[in-house]
Amino acid sequence: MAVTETEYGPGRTIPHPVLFRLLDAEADDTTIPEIKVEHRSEFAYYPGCIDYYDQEMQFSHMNYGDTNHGIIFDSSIKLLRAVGIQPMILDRSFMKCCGHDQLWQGKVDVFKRMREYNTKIIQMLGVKTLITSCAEGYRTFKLDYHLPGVRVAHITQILFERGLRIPPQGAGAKKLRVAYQDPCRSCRQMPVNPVYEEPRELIKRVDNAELVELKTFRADAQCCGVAQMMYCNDKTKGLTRMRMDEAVEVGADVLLTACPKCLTHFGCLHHENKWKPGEERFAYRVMDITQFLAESLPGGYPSGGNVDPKRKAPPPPGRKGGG
Amino acid sequence: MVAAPPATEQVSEAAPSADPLTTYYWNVRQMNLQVAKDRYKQFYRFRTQEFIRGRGTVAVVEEDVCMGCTHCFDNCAFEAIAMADRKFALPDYTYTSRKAVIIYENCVGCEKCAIVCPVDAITMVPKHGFEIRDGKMVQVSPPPPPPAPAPKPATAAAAPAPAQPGGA
Amino acid sequence: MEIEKVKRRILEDRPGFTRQYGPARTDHQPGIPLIPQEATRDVVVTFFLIAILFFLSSTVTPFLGPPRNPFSIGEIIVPDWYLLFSYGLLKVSDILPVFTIGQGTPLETEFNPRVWGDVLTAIPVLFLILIPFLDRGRESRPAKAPVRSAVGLGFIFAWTFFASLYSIREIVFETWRAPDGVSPLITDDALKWFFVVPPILVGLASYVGLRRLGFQPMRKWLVPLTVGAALLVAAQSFAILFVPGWLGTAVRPYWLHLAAFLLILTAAPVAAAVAVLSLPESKAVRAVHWIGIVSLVAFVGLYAYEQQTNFLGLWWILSILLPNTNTLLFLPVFGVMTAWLGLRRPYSTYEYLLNECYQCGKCHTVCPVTKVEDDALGGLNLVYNTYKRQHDGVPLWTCLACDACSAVCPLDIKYSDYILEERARSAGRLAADGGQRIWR
Repeated sequence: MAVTETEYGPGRTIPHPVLFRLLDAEADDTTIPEIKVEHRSEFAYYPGCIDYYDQEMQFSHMNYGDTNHGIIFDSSIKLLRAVGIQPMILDRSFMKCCGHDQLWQGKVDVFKRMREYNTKIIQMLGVKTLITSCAEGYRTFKLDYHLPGVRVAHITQILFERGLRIPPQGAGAKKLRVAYQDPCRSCRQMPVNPVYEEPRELIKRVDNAELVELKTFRADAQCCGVAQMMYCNDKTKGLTRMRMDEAVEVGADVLLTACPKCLTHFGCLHHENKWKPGEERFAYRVMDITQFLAESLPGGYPSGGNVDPKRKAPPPPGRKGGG
Repeated sequence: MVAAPPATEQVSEAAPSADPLTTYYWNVRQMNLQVAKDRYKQFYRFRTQEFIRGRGTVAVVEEDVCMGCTHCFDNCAFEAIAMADRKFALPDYTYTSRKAVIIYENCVGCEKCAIVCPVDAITMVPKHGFEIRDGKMVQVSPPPPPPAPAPKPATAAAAPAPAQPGGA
Repeated sequence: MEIEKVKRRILEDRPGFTRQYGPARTDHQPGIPLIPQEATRDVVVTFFLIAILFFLSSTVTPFLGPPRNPFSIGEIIVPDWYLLFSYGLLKVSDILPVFTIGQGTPLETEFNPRVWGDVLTAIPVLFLILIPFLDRGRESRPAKAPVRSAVGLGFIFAWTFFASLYSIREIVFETWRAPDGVSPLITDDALKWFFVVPPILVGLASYVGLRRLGFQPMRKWLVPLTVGAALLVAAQSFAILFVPGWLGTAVRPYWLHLAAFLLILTAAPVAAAVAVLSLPESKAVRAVHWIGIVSLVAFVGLYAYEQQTNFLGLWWILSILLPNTNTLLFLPVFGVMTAWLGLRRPYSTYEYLLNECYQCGKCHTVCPVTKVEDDALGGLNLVYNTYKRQHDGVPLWTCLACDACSAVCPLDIKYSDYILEERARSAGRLAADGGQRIWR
């Protein structure tokens, strides 16, 4: 780790992945463009930076259905339509990143610019309910933004309130043991409206899923290993692996989470672990809860999905790709 | 059904249905995807200006920072990167991760790995015998002699050994 | 339903929650038993103090002067200092209405000033009795209950002080006379206003200062108070000097000296207001600091100089200043004081909160980073170690800010807030107020 001197003694610098340089560069432009949204509604869905995570991960060939962030967007739309909400989408062509990582990395001025910009747009469009599928976004919009008159909700809260019904999966469906990871941002760090029970209730409604709790869960839940993309090094990966080992111990078939960041870290380790096929330790799938619920509903994705049609299958491990 | 549908099923073909709402969602989704792709491409292009590229440079990996994501390995067209196992051990916990290792002889200094590395673990440095003067890379000493050919195994003594140097 | 319980924050004894949350916690900390430990300790200390008293009275006897002559009543008799406020309230009761209630009945009472004086003395007692009923919050630290503390400071400190001052009004009148030699310099009416104006100003300034300890953005209070005080003082100085008819003929010759005093008194709050509005926070703090010192020194220096060279003129000047004490003397001090207190950050609010920690170690058990980080030296969680400098500089950036430590902390200390602030600060920015000018 690049060591610098801080006032406390030797410290570390934060690596700046391309993702962050890109997001910070986006924050510099503060002019509000003319926004034409074809479908206006008082419910707004904010997808966040999930497509950017896919781009960041794409060279690791993770977008083949085993870890796929963009599918969260499609799943959320499908689920919201299933409960009768037709949300307006606050997509990234006119919104900026919510700024959570910048705030927690200490770049407060960048965060403030993003916040100002996003707040203006949200108010301009007359949003009454802001739905996010990201736990960090949920916390940021609820606690760090000031949005009077706007209710910020995590998608699982809305789905639970509106009584999402999942049809029976049929007799041929295999019984699954489903483990759920509580994201720290939407559970422990929320003094009001933490999202503990709603995802669990929704999982229980899928009739072939059996919810198993990990060794530490709810307020005790161990962090996924990296928060606010602060580092990725052996130690954080060690933490992620400890958490994934808990899922192995409990015999899970699927590991669910409610935050795309957790999904990124689990997916990265999951992929790394498939490098040497004989050694595969994590035999379960990792996915976001919205993807899991959407797959239990009949029908495809009305918004078309996001996997690049040219990528048919992952390259065999150990060979170089062409990029 | 919770079994993962094959990747092709998720592919978008064309805008479905006459329902305007579905068309709206389809359009927004594809546009969001395209925005992310375009911005990333732009940024990678922008990053080509950050390093020194050329035949006199070689990539160097800072091992502490490397997180073993294999972006560089996947993008190197010259087989100059290998992934090596590194064990990380604490008193009661061990974890084996991977680190990128540059193979000096094969690296041509195209800086692709430095551009795609998400944690900036790779920088380009002048090779042995090159220096940066006035912002340009110049060769200050002649290239090293090609290495001696590998000794032939005893069984293949009859066949002529093609002594091709590994290149400088 | 389970969700309802979570929403109503009934989380005790539920799997996955390690402790009771919220204000209704019942996990009180055990204390020391009264008998025999605490009682023994108290008895020992009491005897020790009595022994000190005995020792002093036997070896260092106090000197007794001659007995008092009851026929010489030249001096004004006042009670001990802690009852002066009551005496002052008695004296001020002459402004209260006189009436009789219950006329003709056995309970007939005439509310004359004497009775009023008795009744008003109950005010501080009432105040202290009512506090537990008015302030129902669980917060005991003064900085976290700014309204209660401001009212307390304004009332107990300022009001009783000026009530005590009023009790010796005869001495005040005699000591400072107007230049005509007969009438007092500070009139009775002016002295009566001291009951009202200083407590309000003290309360406001201390509210602003205490809210700052809680890291609130100060635009809402700081700007109107400092700017308002500056404008009032400037308006009055201007009126005194330039509006015809305000300045008496006797004072005209000393116009220039008066202007010098008024300039100092006006410049201080105006400069403080300008500093608050236009400088970034760190510079404004230093600027206000120096404004206060410089104006105080200038005022005292000018006063001493005038006393040496222009004694008569000084009395005329005081004849203008002192009757207007409430605006000309109190407001400049108020303006500078408010700016100074309102820009103070005497200690980071999180150090203040982190000091609550009593080192139980539960956070260390759950912190995930200490499990994988081989250089987390301290025994507690990362944040506390950073705060106490028992680490090698790493933990601030290694902390995941996952709040597992805050979840188990019995004192509800939110460690992730400290991380936010420290990271912002080390990145060169101030988290609260953005470190920018207040007027943005």
